[in-house]
Amino acid sequence: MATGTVLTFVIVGHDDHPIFEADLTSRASDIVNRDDRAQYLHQFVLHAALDAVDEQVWTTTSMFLAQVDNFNQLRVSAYVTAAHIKFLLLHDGKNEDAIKAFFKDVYEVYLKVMMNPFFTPNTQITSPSRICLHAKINQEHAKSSVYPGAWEQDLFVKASMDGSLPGSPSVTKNMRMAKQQQ
Amino acid sequence: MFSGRLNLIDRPVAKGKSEISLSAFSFLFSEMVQYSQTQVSNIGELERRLEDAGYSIGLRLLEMLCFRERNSKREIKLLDALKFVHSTVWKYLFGRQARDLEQSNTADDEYMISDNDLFVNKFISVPRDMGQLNCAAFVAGIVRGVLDGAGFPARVTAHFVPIAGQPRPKTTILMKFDASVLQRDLRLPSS
Repeated sequence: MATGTVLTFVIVGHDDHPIFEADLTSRASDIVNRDDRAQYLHQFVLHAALDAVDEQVWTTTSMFLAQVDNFNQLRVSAYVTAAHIKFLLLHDGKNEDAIKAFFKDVYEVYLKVMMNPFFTPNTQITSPSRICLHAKINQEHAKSSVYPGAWEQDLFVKASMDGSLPGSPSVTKNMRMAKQQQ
Repeated sequence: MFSGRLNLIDRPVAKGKSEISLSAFSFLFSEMVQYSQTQVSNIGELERRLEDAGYSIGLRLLEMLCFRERNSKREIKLLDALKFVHSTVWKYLFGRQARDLEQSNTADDEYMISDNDLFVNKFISVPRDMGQLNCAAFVAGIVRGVLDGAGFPARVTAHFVPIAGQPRPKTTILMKFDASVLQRDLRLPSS
């Protein structure tokens, strides 16, 4: 298992169920070799951190909660929006300012998704808005990560495997580019 | 279509024009009231439909205004949340702050925001057989969405309150908060 920066990002709605999940681990390795068990563990840790978030929510007016919980060397940071939607990020505590900026960018993208009158709050964020959200997150984080190339590659291959993207021309072009880079 | 979507997400959260045409809104609102009228059988249900329409607006308004005006700070105390509704939300909706924010004398968990002439009711005259219907139930729904989203569940209704010496009654938005809200507010360390 290749080691890289461990990052899992979840948006949690009101009833403590996730409405958006993203695994942002920067791995240059193949998608198929991704360790599913580690992914489940990360999601479990994030879910357990929700209690700690609930405690801290009513103590401060700021939206960014730096560290709500930790698990071995991994830390959980949270960002609670005005409508009490929680953004949770599992990371290894390297760069707090980058994480704060990341949350702020995700908040902006989430705001745009939410302004859609056809989007019921607290429901799953599905494609194509999800794909755009994912793309935006990866773009933003790729600027600060060490492996920029792996992100776009991961994103488009994963999106095509999800089967959630129709065969639109720009996507197939990127897939071809990704395949050429391999 | 895919590239069109990206553009929507890439555009910044625009401020937009702060003024819209009153007649456009009035037409739209009157259609909304007429449509709701065909679907319900009594006054209470009509007010509820208007409130529900406002509720989803309130949720989105809360997020948007906190992002723009409050520079990403949440409200955790009841009084701060009420002041937020009274000033920021009212200013966004009506261009000015609300007239009064008061606490009811009789009950601890009731608060009232009153205003004189909401443009929502400007072109509406209620027939006598409709009793006390107040179409500002739409605004009450917006307020309920804002408070509910912020974590202060409440029952919000709109009433006409006649004032001595003025021909038209003022509109009061009455907010009755859940007991859990008050308990939590007592527990918090007061600043």
